[in-house]
Amino acid sequence: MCISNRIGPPVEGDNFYGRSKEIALANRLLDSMHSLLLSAPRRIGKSSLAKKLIQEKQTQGWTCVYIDLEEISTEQGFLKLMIEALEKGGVWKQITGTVSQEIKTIRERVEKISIGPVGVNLTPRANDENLYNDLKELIQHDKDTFIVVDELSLFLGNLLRSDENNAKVKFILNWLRSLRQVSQTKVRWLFCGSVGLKNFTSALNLGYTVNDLTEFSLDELSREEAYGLLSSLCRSESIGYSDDIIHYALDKLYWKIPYFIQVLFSKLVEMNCKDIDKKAIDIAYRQLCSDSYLRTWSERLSEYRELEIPARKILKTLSQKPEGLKRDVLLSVLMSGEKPSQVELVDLQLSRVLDMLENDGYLIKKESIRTFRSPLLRDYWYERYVQ
Amino acid sequence: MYNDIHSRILKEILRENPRDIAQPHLIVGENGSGKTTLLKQLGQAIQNSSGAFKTLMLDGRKVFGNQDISDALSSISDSHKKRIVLLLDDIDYYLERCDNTEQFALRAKVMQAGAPILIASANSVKPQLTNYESAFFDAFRIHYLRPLTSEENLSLLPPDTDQERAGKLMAYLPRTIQSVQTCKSILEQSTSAQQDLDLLVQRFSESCKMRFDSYPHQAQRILCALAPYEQGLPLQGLRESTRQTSGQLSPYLKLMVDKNLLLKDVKGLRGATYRMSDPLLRQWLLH
Repeated sequence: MCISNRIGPPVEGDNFYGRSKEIALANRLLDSMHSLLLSAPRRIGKSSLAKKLIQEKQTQGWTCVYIDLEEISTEQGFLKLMIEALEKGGVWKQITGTVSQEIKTIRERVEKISIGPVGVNLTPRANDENLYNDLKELIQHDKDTFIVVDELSLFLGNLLRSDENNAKVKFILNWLRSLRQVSQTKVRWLFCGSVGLKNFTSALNLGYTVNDLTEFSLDELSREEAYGLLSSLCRSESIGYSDDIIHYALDKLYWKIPYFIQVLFSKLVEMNCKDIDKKAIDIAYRQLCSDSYLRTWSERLSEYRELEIPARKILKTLSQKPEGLKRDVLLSVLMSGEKPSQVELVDLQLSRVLDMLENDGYLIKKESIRTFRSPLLRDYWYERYVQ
Repeated sequence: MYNDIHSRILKEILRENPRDIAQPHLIVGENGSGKTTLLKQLGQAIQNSSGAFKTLMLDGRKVFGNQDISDALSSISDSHKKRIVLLLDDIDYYLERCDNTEQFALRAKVMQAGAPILIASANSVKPQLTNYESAFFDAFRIHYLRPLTSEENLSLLPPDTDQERAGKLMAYLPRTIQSVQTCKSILEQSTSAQQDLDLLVQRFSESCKMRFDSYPHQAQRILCALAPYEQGLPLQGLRESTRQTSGQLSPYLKLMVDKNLLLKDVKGLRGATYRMSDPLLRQWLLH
């Protein structure tokens, strides 16, 4: 099998490798009418898995839709994207002149949602509810349909900043739930994202809006699949390898997510390796630590907003201590220079930051110790921010 | 909270095996929070609880190097070979005065089996304790003396204290034991609620002046403009009040928020409001 090394965007088609157990489980759950919730760290392959599931369901004759909310920060944007995606995916009831007119009217009403400063909706709530209800009425529920919504929590988090009493967020979550609760619906949903939807909703006392979803997890590839991916990539570029070398590379990466395997391989290709050996792997690894491939992990921290600085302090400290550190040491790192009276606030801040860093795959907690999840990421961080 | 830290540290010290490497402890609390008193009480309790320990209290202000510590330890001669518990108050001074090499030497000394057990106090967590290259990185178990709650504050005052007046005074002070003593002293002296505040401002006038004088002139201008407004002012209000442009004000506003001289409230559509973080300094400016 010939696969291409695609770094960054979700992989599709023949370039998707492995995850056979996860795919089988997801298919079983979807076939038995479950809607799913997939939370996993960034770069682990959530979107790629979602697209693979879409591909499989399409071959089974399902109607499939993929909606990516990563760039969306307003309610208007959300509605427009939903309508476009559902229309493109063929989710509407049989299009008649009346339905077509209704869709057109809904679009016009969405355009009229006033956006005040900082994305505040100034139109009366009642009109919005009717709009959502009308949208709901247009969806066809009697045929097998699979709708993937990517980064819903990220979008809702953005919306929350302009939604003082959480009304809009609550409404959207309840609306999505109501779509899932339609009697005998054949529409199944997959919500995936790096920010945990359960934690997000729970923090707002809205846990009930997602308690019908079945949680589904995704972690690193199995050893076998990781081996298969790297060796397939080598074959696709006619690069010679041995079993030992593949295992050596995987041991070095430790956290065997497709992204890290891909970037390491990409480095080997850049080095024009015809046959890879340990030396080549070591060089490629070291170059990755000072290269721009992993810069996204640093850039992403800007999404942490006021927690970015504490997050960087923690990552910088942990990059110097491969064995990891206990929570109270990390607390003292954040307390450095702060008034002792702030300890409770800082402690709360630490909890939030650690949650986010663990959810996003930067850190892992083993018993009471936090360490970088990936030695590659740790070494990159040390190289970039400590050396 | 105070008692919790006391009993926690005492329990751990008494559990230390004389032949093992002991865990150093650090008590962190603001000025006036009771660190020195806690150290003294711990010293007394350790000595009374067990014949296996002998305590030595050192004032960090008088420690200029490891030699001062060594000399103090040598002055305790003990024929029964009791394990020494070294109570070092205000270790901040030592950490500022001594370089990393000297600090490493002290760390090496206390991290030996049977060595003196170090219990220190500090006003804050210093970089010398949290920078990875520092001698005392991850050395101490840190215990934070948290601010007193309003209930704790009031419970430390005599039972016949006017709670309302006491509560109003305490709103201007850090929530420490020393503040409670200040409050008590003022209420004993004062004849009315209005006079309470006057006496408080008078008592802290010198320190308020020193702080105010240490700020850049532009920061002083901003503080003077904000003082009359308990709820603060938005940027536009500050511009009008100071007759300065946003460009002249904004860099200082950011700095003052970062340094916690000002609080920035971001609510609604009208932008941020800035207000003074220290109510006592505000009163000083108004008096």
